[in-house]
Amino acid sequence: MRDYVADLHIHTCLSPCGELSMSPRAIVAAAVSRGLDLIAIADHNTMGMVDVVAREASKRGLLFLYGMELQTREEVHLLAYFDDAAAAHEFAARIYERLPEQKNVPESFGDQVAVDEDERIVYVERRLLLNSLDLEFEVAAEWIAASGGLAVPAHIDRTPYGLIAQLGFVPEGMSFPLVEADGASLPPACRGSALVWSSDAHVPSAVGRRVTVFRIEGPTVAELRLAAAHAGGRSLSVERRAPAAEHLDGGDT
Amino acid sequence: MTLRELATLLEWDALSEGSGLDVAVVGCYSGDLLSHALASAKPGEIWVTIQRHANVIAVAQVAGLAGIVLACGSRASDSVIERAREAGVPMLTSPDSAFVLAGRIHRALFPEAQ
Repeated sequence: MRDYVADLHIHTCLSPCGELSMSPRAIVAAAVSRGLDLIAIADHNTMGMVDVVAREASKRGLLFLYGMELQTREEVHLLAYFDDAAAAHEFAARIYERLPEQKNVPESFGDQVAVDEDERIVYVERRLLLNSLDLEFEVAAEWIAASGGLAVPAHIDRTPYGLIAQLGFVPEGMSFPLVEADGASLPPACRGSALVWSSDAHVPSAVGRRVTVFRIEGPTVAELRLAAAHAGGRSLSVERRAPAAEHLDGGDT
Repeated sequence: MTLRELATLLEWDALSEGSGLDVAVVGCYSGDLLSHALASAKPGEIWVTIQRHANVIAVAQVAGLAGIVLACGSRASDSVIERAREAGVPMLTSPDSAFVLAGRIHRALFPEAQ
């Protein structure tokens, strides 16, 4: 068992709100320079960039989880994590079927560009990604669990798009082992959940500015769940990290 | 004006009558963020929203609202409608947009202001 410094919420250039500079190479370089051990890509309603970032991470000895930031019908942002590539992609394909066919307007929403290791454009996503899926919050959470993934409400205390702002409270009968928040503690409605901090980076300089340190056996979804329960000596804690010297700008969106 | 009179006048379709439509409507709250509704909607108001998640029922109860009218023909799932019935919360639906609904409700409740 050891400590893994993790940033589990990073956008790439494929997210309309992610800067074009958020290439696989730039993200991994920023993560390495901040001393991270583990990252997850969580683009809006897509996993179009996870494989290329996973490959780039592996070259630099950085561990990786497959992630997505879903936007449910209620406009709630919900993170999904997988450690199995096939399960992740199968899940992503089902999600895409629930994404409205509304076209992206890059001038208004931003570019949605998938790139390769060498920052060459692979494709442009025409469908608007930052849109609500035709999928209820509870059903989305069920789908994630059924695919072997871990559902984590994103920035639960943020307005808009946080669970509390959109739905007022955690729906009856639901609980989450891990909950991401901007604040230093979770709202009372999340009693029993463990706090996660991530960067929600949209620019390279923001990668790793807020992290969660997991003391676990390895970077799997099952281990994250065990850390939340503090099982068998596992634990987790959140911290801020100083920016790498060459990056001093902001990047909050 | 009662919710029944308003619903008849504006041709709303009742999905759940809750504990009855003969409750007085004193005003209207319009919006889809449940946290904002919790903080701002006042007792006796009718709530115009397109949000059809089950949590709207609890918010309507806590805020003491006269009922919920789903705009743009938004229809709640059977399980949500069932919950509204159990909770005694009237839930109605209208093909009108939130803008048109708010205007029509305002005209019906406050004719002297027109």
